[in-house]
Amino acid sequence: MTVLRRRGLWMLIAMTLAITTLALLLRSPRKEGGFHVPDAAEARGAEALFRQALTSGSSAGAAAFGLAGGELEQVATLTLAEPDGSCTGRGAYLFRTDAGPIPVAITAPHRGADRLTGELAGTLFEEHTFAAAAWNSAPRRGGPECVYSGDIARMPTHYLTAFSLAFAQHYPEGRVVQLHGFDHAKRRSQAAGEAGMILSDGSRNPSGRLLDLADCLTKAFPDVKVAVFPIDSEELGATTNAQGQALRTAGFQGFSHLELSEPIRRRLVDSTEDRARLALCLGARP
Amino acid sequence: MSASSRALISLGGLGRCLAVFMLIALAVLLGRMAGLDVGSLQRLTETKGGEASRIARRVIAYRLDPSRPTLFRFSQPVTIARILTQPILAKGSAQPGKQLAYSIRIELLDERGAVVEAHDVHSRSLLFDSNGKRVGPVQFYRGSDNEVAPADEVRITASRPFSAIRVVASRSDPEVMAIDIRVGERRPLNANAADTAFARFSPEDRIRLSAPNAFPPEMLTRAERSAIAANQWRPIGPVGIDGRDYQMMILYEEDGADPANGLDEGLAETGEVGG
Repeated sequence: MTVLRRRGLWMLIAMTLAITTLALLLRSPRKEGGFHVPDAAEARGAEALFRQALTSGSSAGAAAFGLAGGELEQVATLTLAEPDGSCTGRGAYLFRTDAGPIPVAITAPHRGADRLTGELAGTLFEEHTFAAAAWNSAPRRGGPECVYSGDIARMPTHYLTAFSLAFAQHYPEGRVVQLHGFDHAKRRSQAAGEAGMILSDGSRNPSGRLLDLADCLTKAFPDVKVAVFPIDSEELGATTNAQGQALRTAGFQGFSHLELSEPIRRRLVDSTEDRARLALCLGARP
Repeated sequence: MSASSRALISLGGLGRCLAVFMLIALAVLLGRMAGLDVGSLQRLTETKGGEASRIARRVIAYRLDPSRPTLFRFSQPVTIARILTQPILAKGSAQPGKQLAYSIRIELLDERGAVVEAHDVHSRSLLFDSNGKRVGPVQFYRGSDNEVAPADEVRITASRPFSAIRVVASRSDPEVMAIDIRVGERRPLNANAADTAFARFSPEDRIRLSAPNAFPPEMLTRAERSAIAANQWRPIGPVGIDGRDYQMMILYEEDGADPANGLDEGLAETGEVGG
């Protein structure tokens, strides 16, 4: 017993020392550089703001969160986004304000780094009456267009997480879709290397709702290999995805993480017919 | 600000790397003193991990229409094809030890559509042995109560190359509600492509596929690696449009038994549209 206690103590000391020092050494420069990461209280406030946007289409109080309300010209939509010229990573959010939207949020957390995903999310939102859409406002990796950078799919208290939670609360039977892009050349397994789409809900035990989506996509795209994590592919499972984790903790079953290969992203952006087939599987009306 | 804190803040990339390495070494040392090694850490991680899915694989199958043939076209003329058929049984109709008979007719077609050969394939399927134990892994279609019997395999060879096969369900026992089919062709790979394909297999796949060899995968020659990759069966889909010319089904298989998948590519399969 004493030996076990001593081992446990050593282990605790080793882990604490390593984690603390690593955290100090590797702390993200983005906070210092202006990429905005809200604390828990601010994230709760943002969640209330997004709930209000979903419920009443109002942007009141958005300025307190560094967001400005607006409208799109062609689609009845409330927008919440950073004011022009700033890119501190708060994200951009769209809420359909006309009646009876489809309870699906189309998001692209890595717009830019995952090429065409932002364009695809925007087009799907425009073409179908999906209830909401969102994407990053600062790149995943810094560049000339915006010096700030960060991976919002890994930030538990980011506004995108607040948006996802608010959406799940407003539409408990809805679906929060994250569009991502992957590179075949970087995959380790044959299954992922040959897949056109890899679906996950962030868990190793995919829900029936995810399998429904996978089955629908398999039939809708018979020439594309549609893989499900971890059944068909052990890669790209989104198990550390912050929004997926938060939604699962909240008891929401509708998180769908779609990894799309580059040819599939290009095909979906180029073809209205293919986008319509994807949208139908996501819940769009025929 | 003290000189030491200034020195820490001004650590460059190399300095940070060195500090990280030192910390890792320290953590490993302390961990060993505590009686921990990598294996025990892995086991700890595994036990804390999520519940593994009971679904082992999902594959595409096609339901044969008894009233008209289903056409499968190969990517190039072949002399061998692999066909897996599975009878679908009404729930509760399978009795222990009772074999159910069903048959299909397969016509091999050349490039112009002329029949090269025709085969009537008669199979007997057993879902439960005489002790009532299920034969093969549990397979199912989501949303259906029907039972899926284990797959029967037939390899069709011909002296003349054939470009397509036409398959139609023939007579079956009354318990057989439908017959589902999967068709495979050899992966059309040249030596270079086959070697590359082998390199892209996951380590687990490489070990599994190399099992018949005396040596582990890393000790195989290039020719042996290429032969393994080229010997994989690639699933093909029927000609036409789903719902009009054929009916696509997505078959799920539960974990726990040897895979009865048959075709070597476990994930969703490529269908052929149009033609």
